[in-house]
Amino acid sequence: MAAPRILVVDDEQPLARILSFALQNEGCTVEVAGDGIDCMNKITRFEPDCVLMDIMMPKLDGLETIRLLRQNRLHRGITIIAISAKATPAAQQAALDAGADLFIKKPFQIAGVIAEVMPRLTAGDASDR
Amino acid sequence: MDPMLVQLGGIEGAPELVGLAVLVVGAWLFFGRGSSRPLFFRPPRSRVKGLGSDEVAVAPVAPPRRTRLADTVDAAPRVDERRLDEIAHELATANELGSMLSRLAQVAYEEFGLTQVVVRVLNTRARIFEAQAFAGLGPEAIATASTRDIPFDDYDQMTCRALSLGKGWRVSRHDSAWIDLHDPERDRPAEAWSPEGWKAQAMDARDPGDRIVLPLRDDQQAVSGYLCARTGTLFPDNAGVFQLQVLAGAAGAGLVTSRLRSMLQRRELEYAIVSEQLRESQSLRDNFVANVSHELRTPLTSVKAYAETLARGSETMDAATRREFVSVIEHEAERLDQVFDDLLDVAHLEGRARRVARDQVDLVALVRSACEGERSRFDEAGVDLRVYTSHSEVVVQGDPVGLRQVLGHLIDNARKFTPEDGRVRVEVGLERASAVIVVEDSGVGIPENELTRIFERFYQVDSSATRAYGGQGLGLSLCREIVGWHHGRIWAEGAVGGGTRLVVQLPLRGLVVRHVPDDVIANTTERVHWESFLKLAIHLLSDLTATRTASVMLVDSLHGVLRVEAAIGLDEDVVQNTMVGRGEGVSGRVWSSGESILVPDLDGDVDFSGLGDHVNYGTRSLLSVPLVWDDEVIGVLNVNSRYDGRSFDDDDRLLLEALADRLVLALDHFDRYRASYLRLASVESGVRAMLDVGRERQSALREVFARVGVETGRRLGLEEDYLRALAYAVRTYDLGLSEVSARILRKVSPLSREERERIQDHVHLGTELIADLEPSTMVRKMILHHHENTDGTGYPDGLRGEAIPVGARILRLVDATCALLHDRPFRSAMPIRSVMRLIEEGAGTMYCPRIGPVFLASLREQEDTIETLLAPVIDDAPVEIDLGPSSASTN
Repeated sequence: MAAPRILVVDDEQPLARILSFALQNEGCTVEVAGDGIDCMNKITRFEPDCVLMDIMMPKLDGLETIRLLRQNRLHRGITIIAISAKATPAAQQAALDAGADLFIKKPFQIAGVIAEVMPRLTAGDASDR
Repeated sequence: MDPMLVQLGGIEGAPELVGLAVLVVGAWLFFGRGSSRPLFFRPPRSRVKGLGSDEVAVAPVAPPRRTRLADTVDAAPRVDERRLDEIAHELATANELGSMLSRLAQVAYEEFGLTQVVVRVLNTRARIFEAQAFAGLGPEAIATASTRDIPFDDYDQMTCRALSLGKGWRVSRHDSAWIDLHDPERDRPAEAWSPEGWKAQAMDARDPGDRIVLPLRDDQQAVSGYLCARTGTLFPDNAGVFQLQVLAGAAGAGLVTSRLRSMLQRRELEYAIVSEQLRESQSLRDNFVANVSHELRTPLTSVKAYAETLARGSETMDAATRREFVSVIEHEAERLDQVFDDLLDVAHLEGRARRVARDQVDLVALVRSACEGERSRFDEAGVDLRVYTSHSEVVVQGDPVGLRQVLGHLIDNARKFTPEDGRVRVEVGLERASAVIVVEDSGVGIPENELTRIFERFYQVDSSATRAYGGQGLGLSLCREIVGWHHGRIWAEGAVGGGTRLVVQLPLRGLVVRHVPDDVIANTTERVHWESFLKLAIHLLSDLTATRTASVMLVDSLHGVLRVEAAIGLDEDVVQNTMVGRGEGVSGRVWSSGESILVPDLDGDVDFSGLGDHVNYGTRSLLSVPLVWDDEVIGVLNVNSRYDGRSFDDDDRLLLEALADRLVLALDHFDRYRASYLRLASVESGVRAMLDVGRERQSALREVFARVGVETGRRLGLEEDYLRALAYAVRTYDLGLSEVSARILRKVSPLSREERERIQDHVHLGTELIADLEPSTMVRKMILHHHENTDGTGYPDGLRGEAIPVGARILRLVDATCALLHDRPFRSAMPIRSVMRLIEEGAGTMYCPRIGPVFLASLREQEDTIETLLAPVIDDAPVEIDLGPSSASTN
């Protein structure tokens, strides 16, 4: 099985760094985008299986980016996991409504993120292929 | 015989009788007291002015519509019952107060043959009757009547409380009697109960008729206004009087309904505004919570994630990665700490008004230490930090801790929003009365519409559009707060070539506003507006006249002294405690004489050397001008200590007098609108607009052009009033430009049509901004037409030649000279000789051929000064401050 490909979208550079470090340790291929626009630019070329999407970001925020991704047929199958420090029930619902598959609130445990992300990748692979 | 008609006989018989006493009420009501000055300065009315007061003036009135004797043979005027009903109904149910009152006046005039009808309404707050409707009066008389207020107490006293009882009166000069319209039997001879001396005022030979006074009563039967009119020679008969009283009664009811209606409307409006504000502040607060939790959680998330990773797998990591992770944890923990500091600061600010320390703070040293502290972070981020100043020290009075905080925030922000290899430049300088700190970065820049919003507390970072420079919501609002303590200003503007400039302007010496006792201003909102108005006024004075010391003094008529209301450059206790008697010192003399005093040199002046004014003079030249309202001095403006050390001259006097004219208007507006905070805010923004121009136009060079402009006017033999307006206009004419986007003004490429229109529109904007505070249309016209060309090719109206106001033609020349001598985005500056030649060539097309040569002649006299000012002065160029060696620095 090819290594799962994950796009980490977060304007907080240290967070993006530690997430990719952890995911690479799990054998994933990871790419980082600094905001929603950057994400849209990278996604077609990178073709990730999963996107970890921060919500509060400059230029194009996470919610808008998720909506854009879901509007595009090419990206509909991607697993999108929203991650945000703003974790009120309304904020969580907004992310799910926009099209996220899961909401993880900040601060998170790295182990917890891995535990949520990895099973989804294999399950996604199984159904797609 | 009808008892009412008994009294009418005398009048019919002797229409030519003049000079008898009783007319005073009419004359006095009509012409009002001699002056109406801003109420703010009115003493409590503990004593009532005798009616013999010298203030009663005789105003020009419309030529009386004389009723010929023969007319009086016919029945006295009245209307039929049905029509009376209609009119009464109309009045009582009127929608709008103004039109209802006008209707009443008009009916009294047209249907009842009364002339010179004035309807006055009681302003319950100020306890004065204000003229609101007129009929049968010429425009001048209307103007006179509407600017004169009749104090309720005076009036009530005069009518021996009859008015407060709501009685209608006919005042008959012939019988020397007040005739009670309700009970004609009880007419009284005037002398029997009139206050002393009032007879003397009745001697108006032009006024042969009797007066009728009809009170308008509200639902509680209290007098809320009255109609006063002259009856001419024909007095309405008993039935006519009855009808008039019916109408007055209906108008009284109409007054109540329309008042209730407008109160309701005002409340609705206020409610809408308040709830809008609440909604806004609620959402700001919500955002604040979200903002803070974001600011706290983000670093916390990193700390946790890195710590967890280190804890789990440090044995499999190489040493470099471990080190990197630990340093991230340290950095993020520090960031958390910073957020907590900010929060504590906010809590501190919100907790209680902080007492600002008033130490001597050297901004150069402060900036240096702040930058040194930030240096390592800049090196880390790969951003170049440089500090410039042309002064060895710039000392302000202020709070060193607060100011250090401001600098820290600004510098830190600049770094955050500047990408690697960018630069941040900090400059400390002096601009007239202020110290100025500029922090300029080459970062991402801030959209123009966000430039003012970034200072709002709790301004949120949530929306994607603002996240780029978010996270500073708290910091910048703190900065604004602290700068506010110092009576300074902070603003953001786009930097040339992208990036952002944050500018902090701090007055070099403290600005002090006198604390007005609570019994004079009890209302906090009013106090806030009053104090902020005074601060603006002081800034305006010191900025536009380039002086270190400026004060606004107002007459405290209760104590009969002049008091300093606000000042810059004076000690706090001087402001709080100074009282100057009439005729004392310079300001006291200005008060008593109503004339400006200009002392070029105090030492050489026989009159003023060693005078005992309680004002500390920084330089030996001073200038005081009166604030005059309706021929009465209500205060004095003083300026002293010009920044350039030069003595004051006649140009300064003209300018200060022009400012005084405008401040008096602002004071009047302030007084009139004190009940409406919305409108107070608009007065404030008018003064602020004037002040913003002061900020824009600070260069010594521009001052020279202003002087050349005024000198041109002087040589053309313009009148003093016009020169004064010119002195003001020449310093404020491009007011509107502050409203035009800076981006457009700086644009190098040709402007689009729309952009050009926006620039051309600035002449309108300029005149709108100041319209409220303009005593006449002179300045307005000058500014509006300062881009007209003599050949008709200018804007906005394409006027030609002599049709363009003289002042505007002079401004055109000043503006052109000024523009040509400066760099513009699309061309570089020209030498003064070429500019003069261009102006000469332009005479007859762009510029007025008559004024052009006069202007050039005055300009030529200033050529040397201009050359000197234009020449690059090496000494004055800001010098970079060495921040000392830095650990990571490579240079």
